[in-house]
Amino acid sequence: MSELTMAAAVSQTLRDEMLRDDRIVVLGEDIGELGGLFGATAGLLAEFGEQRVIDGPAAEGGLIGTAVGLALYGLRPVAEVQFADLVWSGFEQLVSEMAQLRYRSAGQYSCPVVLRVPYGGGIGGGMYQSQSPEAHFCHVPGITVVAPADAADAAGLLRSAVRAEDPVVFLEPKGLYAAGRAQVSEDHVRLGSARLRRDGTDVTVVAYGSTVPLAMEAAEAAASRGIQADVVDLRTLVPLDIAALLRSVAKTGRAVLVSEAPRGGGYPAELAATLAERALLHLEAPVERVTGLDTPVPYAHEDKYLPDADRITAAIERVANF
Amino acid sequence: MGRQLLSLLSADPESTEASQLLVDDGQLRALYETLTLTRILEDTAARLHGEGRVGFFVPSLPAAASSAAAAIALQDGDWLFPSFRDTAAYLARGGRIDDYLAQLLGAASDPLMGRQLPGHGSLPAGRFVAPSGAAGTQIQQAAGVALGMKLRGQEQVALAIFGPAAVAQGAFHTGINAAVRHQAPAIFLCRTLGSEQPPVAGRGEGYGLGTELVDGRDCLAVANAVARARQQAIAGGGPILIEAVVDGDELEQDAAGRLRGFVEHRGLWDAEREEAFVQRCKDRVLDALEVVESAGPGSAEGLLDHVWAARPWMLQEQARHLGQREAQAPRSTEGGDV
Repeated sequence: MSELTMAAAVSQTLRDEMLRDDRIVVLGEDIGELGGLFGATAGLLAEFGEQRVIDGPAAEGGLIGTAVGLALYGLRPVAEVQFADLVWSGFEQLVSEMAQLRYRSAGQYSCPVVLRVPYGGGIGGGMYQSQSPEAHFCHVPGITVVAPADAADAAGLLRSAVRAEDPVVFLEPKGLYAAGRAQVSEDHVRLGSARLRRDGTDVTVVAYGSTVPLAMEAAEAAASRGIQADVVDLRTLVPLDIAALLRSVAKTGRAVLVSEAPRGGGYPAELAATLAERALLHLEAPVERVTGLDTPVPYAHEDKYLPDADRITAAIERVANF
Repeated sequence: MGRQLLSLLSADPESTEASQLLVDDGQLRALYETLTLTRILEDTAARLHGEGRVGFFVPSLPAAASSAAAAIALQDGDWLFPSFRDTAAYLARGGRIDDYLAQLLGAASDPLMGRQLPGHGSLPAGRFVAPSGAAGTQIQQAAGVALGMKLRGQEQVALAIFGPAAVAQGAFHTGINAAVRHQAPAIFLCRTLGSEQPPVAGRGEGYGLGTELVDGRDCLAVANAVARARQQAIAGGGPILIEAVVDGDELEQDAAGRLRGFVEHRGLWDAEREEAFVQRCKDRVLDALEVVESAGPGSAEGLLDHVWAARPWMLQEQARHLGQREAQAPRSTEGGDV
């Protein structure tokens, strides 16, 4: 057990896993000498050398395509896309290849690639260093989509991701890389398992990745006004831990769904539809979403764009008092 | 154009420089047999298409000669990323007539379970990777497989075959870039009509990439270029770009005919063998067609398998909605060398 930031938890977990399995190679822009823009691969080049820590240009199609080829060959590549905002130029490899090769070859070939993707706002990065494109990944059959909210889960989920037989998009909330420390163990966190972060009876708040600390803060604020919120940290978006979601909403009858991404077509819309299909008779109030705006992420007024604890608290109060 | 295409097979077999050949007699005979089988198999496919029994059929012509020649020049353990016109390479790498026909007809025995378009075969043992519908993605993947070979110190190469559409894509640039950067043992074979601007082979120099410009209808020139590239790549010389020019006016028959003259000249083939082999191919194709057709159309039971390694709850539920039984264990992954 040691107390680590999320960035350090990622690099330590990669190190542990690379020691365990010599098929694991890491690749990406500036992941070698620099140790990654956020330090999430710090120290790996010195320990494992250029055969296993492979620096490359910021060309996401080439990066993901190379990772797919390495995985087809039998290696276990962990590729870092420097910012989620840059993934679009690699989307053809991601959607048409990484996600589909198993299906189109009827199981002859597979792509166990872990794509580490720093995402989200909170660092004042403007339009091209702040996006939350998780819904795009979630819409592609064949990909497992993960979003940890602290160092412990980042480590536990990454351990599971590098062992997975499927491609995993591993969304790392870059605003939380250095935001705090958590006890990190050698435990695995099963992909597809949510975590109940706070036990309440009145309202379910569903969050993942960067919005989990905000949801916790909002839940405490609501508690001071007599509303007890259940906070469900999804941890994995695909496959969704539907049992955990439905269990909580059956208990509270109310749901607030939180995400940084633009509202329209976002992941919370999928959650809301799921609740409409399966939990309608439990619901005592309309489901609310607290999300980013339907705009690009602005540089100067990021705080207006991003959901914050106050907006979540207000939503909790609205659904509680409906 | 004024570009000099490398060729070996001359119209007169006697003046072909056999001493320069990097493929042996066994490979030469296999090459001719592959071309003949491809023609006969695709004649049947074209007939089924013409009768409306098959919805989609893209003939290999005029790509079959370069396709077969490139595949013949590889060795066991090498990987091949085909385009969608590489049925000849599919057969050369061990693809089966009945599997091809089953895919064409969406029949029960299709190894790809009715998911891919006809002519998009895949072989795990032959390291022949199911082609994509996206142009050029195989270039990036071949670079990745080749990097894996280099990291693992294997004497193997990865060959990607593609056409002009892929060269216009960013995938061409980033894939070649990755292979050159890592000096990976990859061979990039681009079939063109010879009229692409800027010319494909000419681009190699800027990437620091060895380049060959060959006559794509000349099986020996293509096989030799791939065999030479293979030697160079395995020796650590890095990737190679081969442009094989296929003149659209020329029929494949001419390519096969030129090769036949040469294999006959070398005593590997004659009229008697030709007649027997053609008859055997026709019989095999018709027999396979009968078997494939009698098995009937494929089942939709496996429709939800192989999306993820195991069906997550959504797909288990969707299987129930389709009235299908619970998930059986899908066939496991067979590919991969490490």
